[in-house]
Amino acid sequence: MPDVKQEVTEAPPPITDRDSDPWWAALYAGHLKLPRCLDCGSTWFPVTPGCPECGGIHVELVASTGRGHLYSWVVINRALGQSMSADAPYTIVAVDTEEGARMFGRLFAPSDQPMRAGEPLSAVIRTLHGQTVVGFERAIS
Amino acid sequence: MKDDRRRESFLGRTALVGVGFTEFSRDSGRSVLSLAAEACRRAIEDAGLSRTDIDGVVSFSVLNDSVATQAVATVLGLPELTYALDMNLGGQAPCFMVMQAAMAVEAGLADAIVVFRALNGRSGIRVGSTQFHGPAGQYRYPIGFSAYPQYIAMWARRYMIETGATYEDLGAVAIAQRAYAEANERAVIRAPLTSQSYLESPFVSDPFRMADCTTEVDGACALVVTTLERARDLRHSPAVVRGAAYVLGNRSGLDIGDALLWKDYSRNYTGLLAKALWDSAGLGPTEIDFAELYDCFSSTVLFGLEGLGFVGRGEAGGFVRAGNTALGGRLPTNTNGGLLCEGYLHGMNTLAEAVLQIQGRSGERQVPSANSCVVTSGGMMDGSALVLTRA
Repeated sequence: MPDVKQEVTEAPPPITDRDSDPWWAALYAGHLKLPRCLDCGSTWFPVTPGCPECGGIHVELVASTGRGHLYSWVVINRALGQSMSADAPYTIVAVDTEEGARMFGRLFAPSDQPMRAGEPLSAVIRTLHGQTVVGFERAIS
Repeated sequence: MKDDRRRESFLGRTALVGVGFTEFSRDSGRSVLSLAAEACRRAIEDAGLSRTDIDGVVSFSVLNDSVATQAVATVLGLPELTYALDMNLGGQAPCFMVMQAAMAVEAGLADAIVVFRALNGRSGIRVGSTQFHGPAGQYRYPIGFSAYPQYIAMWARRYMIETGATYEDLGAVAIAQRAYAEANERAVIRAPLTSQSYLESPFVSDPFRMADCTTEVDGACALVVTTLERARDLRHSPAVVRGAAYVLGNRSGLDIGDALLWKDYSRNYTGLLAKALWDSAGLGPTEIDFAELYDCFSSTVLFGLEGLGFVGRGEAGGFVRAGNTALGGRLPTNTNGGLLCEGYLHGMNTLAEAVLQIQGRSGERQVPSANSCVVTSGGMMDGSALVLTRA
């Protein structure tokens, strides 16, 4: 209803779906995986039931090394919701993994060194406000 | 070849003829339906038409924040509709809505169509802080990456990395538009902004400060689309739909806030539709008198100036800093103060300002020879654009 006041909600558990369930299951078991196309070989993220490069339907989940390079980032000074606001300021990074997928993650263990596009980062699996998430750590500390 | 098509079916043969607004506020205290009806009623009256002349309604909503065209037609007492379209889109929609309406009147499906956007965007459902239900939200909300000021800041940062653009370049957009807003009574942000006050203000999501972000408002805005033949007999001079294009780029993602699969955050849809837009109009950037570029955030103005070919790659910041987008400059841009200052009607008001300028009705902020303009709708992977001219 357009006239109902909508409150800013706390981050609820992610609304997963039938395509993403296997990816989350792997993550909960401590494994970062990425979808790969058996037809053209490309790797991407997030999990989709078809290949964004060639339209192929034979998609498998393969292990990621978790290594990647910094593509872009944003420092969030004003966050939404109580728990995220308590974290602010925090940094969200966009990382291109060496397999060729782009992922977003919370930057854990930031340092005082200035961020630099292209710098190496490594994925970590952490719990954030009760939820298992992908994050990244800087190789430069 | 699709690229060579001039789309002569409706281009140069349809026009925007009436403009209607409600007040823009932080808390309207009214229903969205009442706002929608008021803006439509005013647009119809402004065109010199009556409710019995209207046989089509087109609108869009995101997150179910608006009302159905059916409801608006009922409240306005329209006799019957032969064309109605409710689109589930955001800021990419306004120019695209006009394209739909123009095609419909040219095809004879309707005679006069009112297009509108209405929402209690501040006191009701706020797009800036409401979660989308699409399949990509699960990868961003749990990490606290959850709103447009954050998503588009990620693009602005990459643009700065690739082009060397600076905070001062972003600020120049906000400062230039604030000067227009001082002359616009409808704008909700009108206090003067200087380079110093901009740079001293805190970040919201670095690289964005508050002045780089649109402000959410309650309100509605409507326009009337009809054939040029009909338009010539109406109250105001017509704003002719001369060129039009829409594009949804390759790998555009799973919802309108999802950029995970988009490869280049330093370029948006404007570069993808520029050739089709200019070809369809038979005009180029050097023949355009002013621009109304979608500016949910300051950076999207820079993207639009470069994407549409007004300046080269990485030159937009310097172009704005040199005063080219101010009144009297080479390309007056966002002459109502933009969404940054007038308020976030999702670009419907951006389009309305273009029509008012073409009709010579923008008062103190009127561009002296406003014969042709470009308007864009959208900030990221997909969007639409129009070239409007005087008849």
